[in-house]
Amino acid sequence: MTETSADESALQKVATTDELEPGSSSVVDVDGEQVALFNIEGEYFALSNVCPHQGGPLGQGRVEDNCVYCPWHGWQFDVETGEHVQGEDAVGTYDVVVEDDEIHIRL
Amino acid sequence: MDHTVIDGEWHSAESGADIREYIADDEMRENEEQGYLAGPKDWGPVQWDGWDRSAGGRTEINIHSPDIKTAEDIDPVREQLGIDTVVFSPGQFRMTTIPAQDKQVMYMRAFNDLTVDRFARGDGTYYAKLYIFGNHPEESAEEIERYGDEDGVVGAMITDVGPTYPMGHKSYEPIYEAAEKHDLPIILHSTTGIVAGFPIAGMQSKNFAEFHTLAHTIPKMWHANSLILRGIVEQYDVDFGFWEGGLSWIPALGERLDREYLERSSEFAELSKLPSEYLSEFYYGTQPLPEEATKMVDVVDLIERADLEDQVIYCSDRPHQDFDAPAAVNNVEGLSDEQKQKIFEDNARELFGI
Ligand code: FES
Repeated sequence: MTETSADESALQKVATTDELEPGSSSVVDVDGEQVALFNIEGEYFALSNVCPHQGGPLGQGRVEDNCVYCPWHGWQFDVETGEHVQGEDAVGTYDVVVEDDEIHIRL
Repeated sequence: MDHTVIDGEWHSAESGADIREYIADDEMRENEEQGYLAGPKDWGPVQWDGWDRSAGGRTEINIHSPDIKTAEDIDPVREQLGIDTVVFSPGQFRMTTIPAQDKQVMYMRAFNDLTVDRFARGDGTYYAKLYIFGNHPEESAEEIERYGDEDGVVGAMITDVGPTYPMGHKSYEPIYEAAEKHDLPIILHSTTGIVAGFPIAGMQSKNFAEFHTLAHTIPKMWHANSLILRGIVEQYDVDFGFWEGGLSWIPALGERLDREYLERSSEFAELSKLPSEYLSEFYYGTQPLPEEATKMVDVVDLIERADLEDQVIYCSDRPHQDFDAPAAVNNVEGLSDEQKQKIFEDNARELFGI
């Protein structure tokens, strides 16, 4: 979820706001980790791109009602908490900080 | 530890039109090209079943990926998934839905010509299974005779949904004779196409989930029961593989079979051991493995109790919507490295002779 206060030391810039329009997503490599970024109606979310089920690419998934559906087997994850809505698995999430037009995630 | 991964099943993805190109008779081929005015041209006589497998477009793996035209077309995804060797299964296995019975054999032959031409490489990376038809046993046996010794052909796949008889029936004997002669395993594979036969007819499912939950497993039990009870397992030296029905039906069937056998063995063919022990000699594809969330299934315990360590073969079932990446095997808690080695590689080498 988007934050406003920043602990600068742990932040990593991952994109600029004009690279991530509302309704879009992208995947970035952060120190070898694949991170999926989502802009849902102006709010930014960051999750691991690797589905905990079998490794499907969550950044390519369809987003509905603040959830992303894994394009491989359709598992549904809450983009804010990373929880699998129907099960016990969860995908890692990152805090997102937007400053000016830069999107950062907290590592 | 990293394992070499042999995938016991990746489907080719040909359309009816692709198969049609291989119809040997020129006039028949032209007729077939021009004959289907009302349906999608690509499908020809093979019937599209109307199921939405993607949950309203939420998943993207498409069972009829038109970009898989030849074996090498899967190179990028295969490498991405960490799979070294693939044994293709025929993709258009709903051939049993071809309504004109007098065209089914012609399409089966064309289909096998296509498979041998495009998928059965025998090059260490790509192998393939032939397609055979339960309701055309003589002609299916001829297909095994025709291609059984071809480099790269390592099995024969039968659509186990829809044949008139269960596979212990005597009508199948020509197929078993040919398979034994050419040392080809027979792989049973279901379809979720709309097939006018057991067990699809009469299921009256309300949606794909209700249908797909059972459509693979029920026919496995139907045929395994029959192969054992009618003694095919004693009569022929043929390996049988049960693909896509999961594993948990095995003890359920074993329990019922042994009970019946002990109560009325006179109704069984001459068997040399308990019926359930034959189940430990069949081969099984891993896909679909139980999800971790299904706590009532313990795969490791099942493999040990049913003595399946040498019988279970990793299958991805790409490009079908319910495919399993190799991660599905690695996710099974408690499997030893040695068991994984067998599932990923050794058992497939043994069954397919590769
Ligand atoms: S890999 Fe994501 S749902 Fe299976």
